[in-house]
Amino acid sequence: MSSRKAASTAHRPDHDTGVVVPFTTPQFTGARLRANRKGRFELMLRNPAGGRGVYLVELEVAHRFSAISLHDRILHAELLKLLRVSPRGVRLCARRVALWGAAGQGARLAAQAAAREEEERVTQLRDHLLDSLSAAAGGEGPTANGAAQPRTATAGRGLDERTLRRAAEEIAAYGVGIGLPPAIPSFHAETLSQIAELADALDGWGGEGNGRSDEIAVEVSRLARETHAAAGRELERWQRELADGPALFARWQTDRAGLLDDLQICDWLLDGWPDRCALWNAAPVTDRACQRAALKHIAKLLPPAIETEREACDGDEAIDALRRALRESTDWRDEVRLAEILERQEALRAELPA
Amino acid sequence: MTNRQALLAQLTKALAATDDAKFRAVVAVIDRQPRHHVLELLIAPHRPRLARLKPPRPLTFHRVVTLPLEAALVPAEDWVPGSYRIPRSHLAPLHSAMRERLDPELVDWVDRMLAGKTTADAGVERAVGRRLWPAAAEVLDGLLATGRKSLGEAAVSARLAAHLLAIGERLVETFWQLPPQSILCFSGEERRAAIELLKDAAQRGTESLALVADLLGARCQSPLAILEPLLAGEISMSPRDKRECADRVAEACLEDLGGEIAAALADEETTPQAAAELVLRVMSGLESLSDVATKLDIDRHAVRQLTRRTAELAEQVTRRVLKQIKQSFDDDTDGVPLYNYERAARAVTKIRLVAPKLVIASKLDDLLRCAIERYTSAFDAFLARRRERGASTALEEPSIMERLRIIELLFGSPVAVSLWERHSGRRTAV
Repeated sequence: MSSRKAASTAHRPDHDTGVVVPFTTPQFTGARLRANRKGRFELMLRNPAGGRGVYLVELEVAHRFSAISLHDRILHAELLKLLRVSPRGVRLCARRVALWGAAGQGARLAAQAAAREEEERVTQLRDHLLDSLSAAAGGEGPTANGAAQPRTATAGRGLDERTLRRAAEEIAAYGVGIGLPPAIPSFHAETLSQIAELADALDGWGGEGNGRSDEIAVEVSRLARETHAAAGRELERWQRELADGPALFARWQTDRAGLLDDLQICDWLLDGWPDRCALWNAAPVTDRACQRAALKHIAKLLPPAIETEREACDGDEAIDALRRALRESTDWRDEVRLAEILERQEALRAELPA
Repeated sequence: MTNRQALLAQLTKALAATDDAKFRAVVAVIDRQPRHHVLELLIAPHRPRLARLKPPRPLTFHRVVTLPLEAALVPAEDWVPGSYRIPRSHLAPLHSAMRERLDPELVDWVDRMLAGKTTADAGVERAVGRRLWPAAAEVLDGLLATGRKSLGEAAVSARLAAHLLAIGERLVETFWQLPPQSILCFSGEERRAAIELLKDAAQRGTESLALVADLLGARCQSPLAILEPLLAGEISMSPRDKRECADRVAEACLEDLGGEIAAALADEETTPQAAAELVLRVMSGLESLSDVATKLDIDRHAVRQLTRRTAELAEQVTRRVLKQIKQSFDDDTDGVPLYNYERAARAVTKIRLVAPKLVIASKLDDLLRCAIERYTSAFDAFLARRRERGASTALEEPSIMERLRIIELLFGSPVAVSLWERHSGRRTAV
């Protein structure tokens, strides 16, 4: 099967729902970044008054919300540097900011560990790609650490050794989530198994007469199963593709952008799920109240229904709505609650592979 | 100390030092032992940790029958006779009395239903409880009427246990429904559930109502939050009885809070976090109290005194934290990493948020305003010193970011964001 054919039949994630941004400001919980029809970046924010619908705020003005946390202000500046919206791009921005310590020491250490692990797997995958290319070209022995074999491998392809290495690095960096088990563990497979566990747990959880929480559990379980099936298929497909190094290099030469997009299909499908699983896992299995609180938070992270968008709402109107909501919650207890949510959001960052 | 006691103490100490994963594993190993109730002694001193981790444990007759009593249980050494609490030491005689006198068929059915199940099987727990709890309440009621002496010291707890078991299902459901953290105020759904519970409790009389009100109150950030549904007039009981019950809850609450504030003021080792939580709890309690003040016989002098003492604690803690952190803030050697102070700084944030409600609001405001200037100047000076040394002044440097974080936690995000924007040359937020 050629990689081009694989790409053309690949599952196309819905980019309109955007990418979850791990903001810590309570009012920005569940915010999603997307490119609008004019190609400008905008944030989809939940109605700050708690009602239906979402607000669309141009990314450029989002920092004007006066209660924005330091972490989010810095993350916002990093997001503005992105050229395209993608889960990978947002994740790398968030990791950079976490590495600087803007979300606290816990998140910084988690980001360091995640970066180290990812770097190791990228190196392994890159070496595997170079090896497979060398083997296909009749080269022998390990290629990753030597310079001679890649040259052999490129014979007849018109790629110099440096370009070949760059291609391998790039494919590995974008495909690291896919992995090549068992030699190179897959981040996506780990997420999928967490999603399956979440769905199983939620299937057995409902039916206790908890009203809204039961409804959320059913909905999250349904979405989890759908995601698991779709992402599982894509993951299998792309693990097969990654195993075929020469075909990948060939496609990189002719359709680099398309290949890199396709390597991120699973990222799109699994976007936001590590956060949801981490929220659920943080609640003890015997603490129903804690699990209900986790479910309510998870509901905020689900993609909003697009038909409920307030398309007409511009950035200023949304910022005003956020300010109004902030002014209305002048009770000190509300403010304490917001401070506690901020603290929890930061703690959650430390639980996630940033 | 006998050899057994010494070994027990040693093992308990070792358990205290283990991480959560190992602790869970030890609990699981103990639960798998045929004579696990003997080994329970090992984990008994770690009940607060067990309550936090809530590992799945095997479901047993004792565990299910104790479920409605959980909220009232206290360690034997903390028990105050006459309070609405049951010492754990009374559980064993209560359990034996109930098991002995319950219908043997019911006991067999319970044992069969629970075999191989854990506390994660909530459905089984509830299904068994639905039949077991009312039956157990009847047994205790019968004993109290006829064979009180057989219960010995535990008779006093048997009365409370009977009240709770009689409304076991509603009680357990309501407590499961309440948020995991202490409650600031009830949401609509929670309030409705609390009222239904109080109604059920009231059917057994004023003691049962006062007991349940007290238990619910203990779960609230403001224990007095329970007074509002209690006084709302939706419970079928005479106004006089309801008021008496509410007065008792309010009085107990004021006494408890006053005692806690006095202890925190006297103890210089009180952590800023604990002090801040206490300040919030007191203020929340006093606010609720003022909401129902006209309906209760409240000692206003006690309220004023409590407010003054709380303000004193808030100011003391704020000064202490600001001084302590500032020393490390000025230390270029980074001897003590600033992130160690994040929790203390968060405590000051909470105190700052509640300050307007304290009589020292302006005093505390002035204190914080001066501190903002001192801290921002210190931040500028820190950057200048780094520049002089030729060290990086990039805001992403951990030691620089740590300082910005501390400023954010102490004085709020807008102060830190504006400082970051000024130094990074970004547009200022409006």
